[in-house]
Amino acid sequence: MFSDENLMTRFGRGDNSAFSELVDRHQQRLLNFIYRRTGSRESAEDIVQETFLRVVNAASRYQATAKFSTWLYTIALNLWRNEIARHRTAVELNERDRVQESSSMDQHVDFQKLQSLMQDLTDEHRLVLELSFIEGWTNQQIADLLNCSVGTVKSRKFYALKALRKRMGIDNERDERDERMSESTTAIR
Amino acid sequence: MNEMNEMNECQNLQQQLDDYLCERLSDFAKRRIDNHLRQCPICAKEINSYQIVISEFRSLSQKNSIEPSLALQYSLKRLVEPSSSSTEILSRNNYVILIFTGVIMLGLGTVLSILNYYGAIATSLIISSISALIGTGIILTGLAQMKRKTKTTK
Repeated sequence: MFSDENLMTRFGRGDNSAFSELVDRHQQRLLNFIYRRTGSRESAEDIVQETFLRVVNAASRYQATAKFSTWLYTIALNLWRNEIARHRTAVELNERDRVQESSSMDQHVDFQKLQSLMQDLTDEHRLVLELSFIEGWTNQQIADLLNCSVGTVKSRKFYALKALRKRMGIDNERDERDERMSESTTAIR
Repeated sequence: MNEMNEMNECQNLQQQLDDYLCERLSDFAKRRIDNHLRQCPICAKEINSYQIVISEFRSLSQKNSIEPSLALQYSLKRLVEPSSSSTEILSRNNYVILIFTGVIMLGLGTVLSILNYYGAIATSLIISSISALIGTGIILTGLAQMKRKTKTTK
C-alpha cells in the first residue's frame, strides 16, 4: 500500500487516480473532524471541499517534508478558523446551524452531550484529545499541527483528560491527594 | 524493599501513562504495567478512570459522526476529472486550429482571386471563391463553438 506522501507525489506528476485514493482515505475522517467543530454538515462539507481544492491547486508544488495528513488538517483548520472569524463566534455559527439542521434528534442530543462534556476545554485542548484518541495521531504529529512542543501536547492532553474526568464526576484518589497537597502548600505560604 | 519496588513501578507508570493510554507500548512494557496494576489499587483506579473518560469520549464522537453526502463525493471527484481540465485545454486548442485553418483558406482564396484578377496565374475563379467561402465558414464555426463552450463553463 502506498503512503499518503507517495500518492501525493504521484498526483503532483499527473496521476489523478492517486488523488482519488487520497480522497477515499481522508474525506470521512476530515469531514467528521470539522463537523465536530462546526456542528453543521453544510459548512463542514464546504470546508472539506475547499481543503481538497487547495490540495489540487498545490499538487505540483508539493514536497513531502511533513506528513500529508498534518498538511491536510492544517489547511482545514485554517479554513475553519477563517469561517469563525467571518461569523464572529463559533457559538453563533453553531446555534444557527443546529437550528437549521436537526436531521436526527439522537445525533443532536449526542452533539449537545459532547459539547457539554467539553465546555470547560479550550479549542487547543479539544484538538489534542480528538487527534490523539479519535484520529490516533502521535504526539509529534499533533505538535507539528499545533506548532508547539511534544511536552505541551502531553500536558494539554492530561489537563483535558482530568477536566473531563471531573466533569463526568469520576473521583480519583491521586487528584484528591494532589489537591490536598496544593491546598496545604498555599496555607503554609 | 517491596514497597520501594512498588513505588518505582508507580513512577514508571506515570512516565509511560500517555503511551499506555494511547496503546503505543511494547508487549513487554505493557505487561510490566499490567502486573503493577494488579498490585497497586491507586494506580489501577487512576488508569481505570482515564479509560472510562476516553471510552465515553470516543463513543460520543462516534455516535456524532456523519457520512459524506453524495454531493460532496461527486464534487470531490469532479476536482480532477479530465472534463474539467485537460479536455478543456484540448478543446480550446482544437478551436484555435479550426480558426487558424479557416484563416489560411480564406487568405489563400483571396490571394488566388487577386492573382487571377490581374492575370498573374490562370486558376479558376470558382476554385478561389470556394476556398475563401470554406475558410470563412470554418472561422465562423470555430468562433461559434468557442462561444458556446465558454457559456457552458460559466
